[in-house]
Amino acid sequence: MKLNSLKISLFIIITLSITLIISGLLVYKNFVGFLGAWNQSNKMNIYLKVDTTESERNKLIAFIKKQKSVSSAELVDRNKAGLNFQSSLKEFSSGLVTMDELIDLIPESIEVDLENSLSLQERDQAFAALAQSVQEQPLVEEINYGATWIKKFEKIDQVFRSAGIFAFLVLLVSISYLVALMVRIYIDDSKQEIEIYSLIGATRWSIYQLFLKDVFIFLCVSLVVSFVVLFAAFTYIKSKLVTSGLAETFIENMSFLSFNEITFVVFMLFVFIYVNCFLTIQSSVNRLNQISNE
Amino acid sequence: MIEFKHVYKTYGADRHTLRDISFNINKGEFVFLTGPSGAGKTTLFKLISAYEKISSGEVFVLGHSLAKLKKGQIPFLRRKIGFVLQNYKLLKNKTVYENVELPLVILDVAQKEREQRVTEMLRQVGLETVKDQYPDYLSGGEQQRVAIARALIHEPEIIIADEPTGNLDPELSKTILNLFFEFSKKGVTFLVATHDYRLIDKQKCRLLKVDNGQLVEDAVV
Ligand SMILES: Nc1ncnc2c1ncn2[C@@H]1O[C@H](COP(=O)(O)OP(=O)(O)OP(=O)(O)O)[C@@H](O)[C@H]1O
Ligand SMILES: [Mg+2]
Repeated sequence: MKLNSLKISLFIIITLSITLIISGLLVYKNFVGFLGAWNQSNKMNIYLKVDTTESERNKLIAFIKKQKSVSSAELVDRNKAGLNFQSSLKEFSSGLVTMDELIDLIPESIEVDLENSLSLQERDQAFAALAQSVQEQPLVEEINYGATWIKKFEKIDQVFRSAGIFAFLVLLVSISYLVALMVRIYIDDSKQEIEIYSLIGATRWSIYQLFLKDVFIFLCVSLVVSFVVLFAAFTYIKSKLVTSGLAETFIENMSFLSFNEITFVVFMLFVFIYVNCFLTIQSSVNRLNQISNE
Repeated sequence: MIEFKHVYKTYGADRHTLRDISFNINKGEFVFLTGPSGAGKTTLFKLISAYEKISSGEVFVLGHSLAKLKKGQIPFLRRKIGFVLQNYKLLKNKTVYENVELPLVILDVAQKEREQRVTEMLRQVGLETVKDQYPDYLSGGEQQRVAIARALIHEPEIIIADEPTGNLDPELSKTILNLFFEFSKKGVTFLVATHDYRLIDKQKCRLLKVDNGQLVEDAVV
């Protein structure tokens, strides 16, 4: 296959388009992952009434652990809670309240965490169900699991997911049209070739194949190039972010597309771009399949 | 081989490019087609090669009625015809050798036999020395001979040539015409459009003359 400027620009357009789509997915995936990470760090606090005995507390913890989706339930004693509280307030609280006064103010609580496999919605439902069954327990004073925040995040998550899918489809369609347009220019440029092949009795199908083969090669090389470039860029950016020390848990959880996701993307790109190109090739070849006087 | 029965070809509403053309060319005949520019010679060839639809009448090529031919059958009909067109139609990104080889590639001829036949054909048209050149760097006459070689290489049953000697000097014209006669003796049917009356005079053959879309003469000269 000989390269000319048209083929090279076709290749560049395909590569850039694919890179655009994949990087969009990458950002999307990690943003959703970020929401998920926040969600997973959110726990339920069950505040206890004053003056409970240890055996009563243990009974309650055992009861909670038996509930659906619960992965852990631990007692947060007053001293620890006090320290936490103090450290989060730091100098604002210094001198205002002493440690002892603080501990008196803070009730004892049980911190409950759920299994990590749950989605935002499932987690919300599991928390709500758990809250209902725990509420009736005599020791329980108050339950808090950031319900209003979860509701807000759920909305953001939903909007983001549907907007993401919509944007992905729009991008995919417009890109496959763009590529098809380039292919059409490329075919028009090969007008003479089509005339000659048809003149010496090549079947239409074998003429299509001439172009389909080129598009196939471009698509494959473009896919490889885009993935390699993006993976390199992703690794570099992640390493830079890690050394910056910002939002560590989130950055550590940043991940490239998984094998399944890559398979899905490659499949979608192939189907959309290739089918569109095939239709373009078919109509262009049929249009050019005649003898001109050039 | 080729039969026209009251053929009309109209472009647009009322532009008759061909009007009531009837003739019959038998196997192995060598026929010249002449007529002034714009008479309809190329149009007639486009009908035979099924690039244009017949407006009315009937055309038979190699026993097939073109009007009844299915789209998918057209390429297979064309493989039995060798075309030399007015503007050569060579692939710019392939060498002389590859251009001539193309019909054999389409016919799935084995590599070894292809090589042998192409080399021999290039020798016959006097192009051995430029076989690795690209068409753009050839003279008009050389390009024309590449087109001729490509039309003859797969030994089609019919050769249709539109001004095949338009760019050749008298000496080369004679060589090419002799090559045509050689093929003709083997039973290949020729239909050659030309303005060059000197070519026609040299040989006893059939002459079809069109003028303004009508067949005005069908004679043996
Ligand atoms: N696709 C077309 N649409 C409209 N008119 C056409 C078309 N093709 C050919 N014609 C007309 O048909 C007439 C015959 O054209 P044709 O090319 O057959 O002439 P020709 O005999 O081959 O001439 P020349 O000797 O100059 O090659 C011309 O007047 C031309 O303008
Ligand atoms: Mg002509």
